[in-house]
This record gives sequence, structure tokens and C-alpha cells, in this order.
Amino acid sequence: MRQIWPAGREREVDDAVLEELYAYPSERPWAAVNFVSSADGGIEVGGRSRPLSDAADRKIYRLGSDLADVVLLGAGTAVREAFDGIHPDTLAADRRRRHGLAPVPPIAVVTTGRSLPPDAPVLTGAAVPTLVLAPDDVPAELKKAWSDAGAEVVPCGAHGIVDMRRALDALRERGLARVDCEGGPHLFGSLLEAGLVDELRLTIAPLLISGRAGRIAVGATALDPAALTLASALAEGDTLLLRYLL
Amino acid sequence: MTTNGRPGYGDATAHYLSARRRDPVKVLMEEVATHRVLSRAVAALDLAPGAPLTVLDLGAGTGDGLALLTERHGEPAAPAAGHPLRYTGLDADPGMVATAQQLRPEARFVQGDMRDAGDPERFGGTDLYLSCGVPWSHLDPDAARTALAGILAAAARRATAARPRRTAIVVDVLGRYSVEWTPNWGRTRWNYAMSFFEDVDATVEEIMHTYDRPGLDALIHQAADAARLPALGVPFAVEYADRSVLTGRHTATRALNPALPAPYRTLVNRLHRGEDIDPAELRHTPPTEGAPDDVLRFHAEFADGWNTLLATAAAGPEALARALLEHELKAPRGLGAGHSLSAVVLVRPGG
Repeated sequence: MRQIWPAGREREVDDAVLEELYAYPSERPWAAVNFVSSADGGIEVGGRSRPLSDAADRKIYRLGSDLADVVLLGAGTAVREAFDGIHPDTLAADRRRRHGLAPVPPIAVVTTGRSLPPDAPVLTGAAVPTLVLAPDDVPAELKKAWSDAGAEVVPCGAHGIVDMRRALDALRERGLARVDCEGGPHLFGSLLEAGLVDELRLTIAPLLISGRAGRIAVGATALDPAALTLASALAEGDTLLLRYLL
Repeated sequence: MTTNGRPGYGDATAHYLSARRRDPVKVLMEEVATHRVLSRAVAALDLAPGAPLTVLDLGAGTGDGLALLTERHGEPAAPAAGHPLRYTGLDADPGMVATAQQLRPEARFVQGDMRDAGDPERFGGTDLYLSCGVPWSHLDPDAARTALAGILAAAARRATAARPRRTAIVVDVLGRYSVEWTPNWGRTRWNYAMSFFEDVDATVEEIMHTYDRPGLDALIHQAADAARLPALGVPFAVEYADRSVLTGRHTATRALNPALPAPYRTLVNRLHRGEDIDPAELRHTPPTEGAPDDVLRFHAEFADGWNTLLATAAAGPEALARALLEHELKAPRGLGAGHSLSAVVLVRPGG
């Protein structure tokens, strides 16, 4: 992998340099959002992001969770990808130890209720209890079913809507300040609307897919365009790995 | 594993709970050999220290697999040491499942077919598909292929998930070329008289399937093709190990091979108890025909080492028993030349 931006910093990057580039600032809470997109802006092939990903993307994707306190996910994405939590391998464990992080980052899954069945692998298969970020008015029996499945329910919102600021505050109160958001697009849209995103980690896959695939951020209304600063750009083959600051 | 109208393994629960079943050969050799296979399989998963290990034990019986994973067997650490264990035992026999649950209330036992093992709804998240006590030999090869293909398909989904994971599968079968059943070497399917059961009067009969290394290798590769591992670019590797070359259970009875020179397992157990047995009684003459050359060569070399120990042993019967079992533990060539043959299949993310 080669760093091609900022100008004057061009160099081959090894795993140690990658780790420095993708480490979260430790002095303040930080929310980084991770996506892989085709060159024409599509984020899925047949409903999955995997076909867009390559070895370079997987390397930086895992750095996102290897170095985070918590992995934030929308329930739809977690269920669709049959995601069963983070299960660190020895490399991840070593990284987390060196960075002074807990052995396993919990998942925080955002749901209005219906999109998260209590038998979802993200609840039943996780190595540490998953945090369910849901509005206060979710039916009590659903909250109980989530708890019975091993999750910790964190009420943060009202009238069927999750208040993302309250949600991130609740994570920070638990010492989970370095947040790795892995989608989906509605969650990214909500975070942007609330002004809570610090960094976008975007991989541009050298592919064109057209069709009706979704894009990385979706919301009810368009934002005043939010300006980005390109913090670093890496290239591996035809793939671009970009870090933008908001 | 009960077959209608005939006594089945369910009736043999008393055997599995018998204290006599864990004889010195089992404790000092068989469990240690299995321990080493399982430790390699767990290490190959590359789990972080403290990360949970999710295990599905196929043909779990009364849950011996759980003990094998959590006990040290004289080695530095248990195979599952350092990982919170999430163990599920799967067995076809409801009686066995009930007994297992009673014996080990902390674990989970469910009744079902090995062909359900790859079902993500029932057994998703499994890191290690365990088998010990040769459950795969109870299935005919078509059923075994189907069951293994289902597991490999689940492993391939893990290997190609957004966050890819490794999976290990231990396939434990009867070895085709064990001296316990030399008359059956020409066949891979025969009636296995379970005459070794302790504390059970009935003799259990069951059709069993034996495998040599090429036979098991073919089965695994056919299952991998059926699960489309090569097409998906998902790599896998297989390691083989033999267990119990001269001290398999049937060497005690010689029921399946009356021509076996001596009841080696019984004699080794008696030596270990300190009985004064003439070492010459344990001399072994290896078979010289009926198997491929590499297998016959292995048996000849194994017998040489065994007979040399008998000739040079001076430190007393117990030391001789330990030396003979140590010789067994050095033998895991994986040819299907012992009582059982274990394959550890490791499925990894590609690229």
C-alpha cells in the first residue's frame, strides 16, 4: 500500500504505519464512519458489501474495530450481514493490548425496535454483551427479550426515534469514546444530521455497478453540504483508501 | 444412534458411565492423543486470548468431548484453556442427550442429525466442529459427505463474511488398517460388534465404515467441492493423525481378529497396574499383506519399535507400560493404520 496524500508524505506504508494512520485520537471522543463504495457510489452487490471489498479494504476495515472502544451499527445492517459481534484474533488482541483497549469491543446496535429480532446473531453470538440503543418507548416485552438474549438495553430517545446525541453520550458514560461506525447509510445519515461524525473512512473500489444500489449516507432531507478535509489517501492497485475529517 | 428393533448405543449408557472404561491406556494414551489433536485445532483458529470458543460436538454421546476440551490430560494446558467455552453436544439418540444433560448440566445438549450441523439457524457461530469416538464412521459415505458439505458451506460463509473468521472441523473415523480387524481390511463397510462394552450384557451391532488416508481425503475434498470452497476461493488445509495402533479397544477382546498375537491393551493395562508379565508375551508380529505398502511399512516400523522396547525394558512393568504408550503417542502418521483416524480441516479466509 502506498500513501499518496498529503503532498510530500508519499511513501510505502507497512502495517505499523497503517496502525498509526488509523489510530483514534485518545484525548477526545471520536466517531469514525467506515464504508466501501464503488466508483459510481454504490455500496452493495446483491445486498452485500463484501463483493466491493478487497484485501486492502479488509485491512483498514479491521483496523477500525481493532482500535475502537465500540462498534456502532444499524440494526438492519447487523441483521442483513448476520453479524455476530467482534471476535478478535491474536493480531487484534495484540493491537488492543498495545493501545490500552479492552480485549473485545462491544457492539452498539441502533434500532427503533422492529428491525432487531431477539434471536439476531448480533445479540446471541457476541463475545461481550451487545448494547441496544433504542427509544424509551419500545415495548417492555421486546426490551426483556433483548436482555434475555444477553444484551444491555440503553434507552436513548422517544416517540420511536433514537436520539443519536444521547446514544453517543451514553456510550461515552460507559468509557466507550472511540466509536467505529460500520453503517448502514441511515445511521450515517442520522449521525451527520446530528453533527456527530468526526471522520469518514471511505474505500473507493475500482468498480462500476449502476443499478439501484444504495449510497453511503441517506436521510429524510439533504444537508447543507458538509465540507471535508482529506487527511490521508492510500492506494493499493486500483483501490483508493481515503480518510476525510469533518 | 439407535437402530430400530436392535439394541443401540442408547442402551449402552451404563458403559459410558462405567469407571472401568477409563483404563490406563485411555487415560495415558488415547486421551492425550486426542488432546493434542484438539489443541492443534483450537490453536489453528487463532482466537485472541479470552475470546470465546464456540464448539459443536457431533455425536456427543455423554459429552466426553467437553471433558477432552477442558481437562489437561497431563499436558501443560487444556485444549480450550484461556477461552470461555460455549459447548453444544449434538446426538441422534434422545436417551443419550438426556443422560448427557443430567451429567453435565452446565453444557447444552440437543438431539439431532449430523446433517443439521451446518444449519446457521441452529448452530451458527460455531468455531470448532468436534468429533471424538468416531461418529463419522456410523454414517454411510453419502450421508457423511452431505453432513460435511453442510458444515464446510457454513465455514465458507464465515470465511467470506464482512468480518472473516476461521473454522476448524475434526473428522474422527475408524481406521481401515487397524490390527484390531485385519480380516476386514479388504472392506470399508462391515458389522462392528461392540463386544467391548463394559457393564452391558447385550452385544450391540452396527454397520460401520472405515477409512484409510486416501479414502478420508477423497471424502473431504468431495464435500469441499459440494460446498463450492474452490469456486468461492476459500482455502482449506487438512492434517491427519492415527490413534491406538496396537492398543485399540478391540485388541483386548481380539473378537474381530482372533489371530492377533496377544490382547495388547489388556496386557499394557495390567503392566501399568504393576503386574509381573513376561514382556515377550507382548511381542508383535506385524501383518505383511492386505494393505498398501506405506501402511505395511508403517506397521513393520511400529512393531520394530514396540518389540525393541520389550527387549530392553528393565525398569519394571509400569515403566514399560508408559514406554509402550509413549511409543503409541509418537506414531500419529495419519494413514488409517490405528483404531481411529482424525482429520482436522481448517477453513480460512482467502486473500
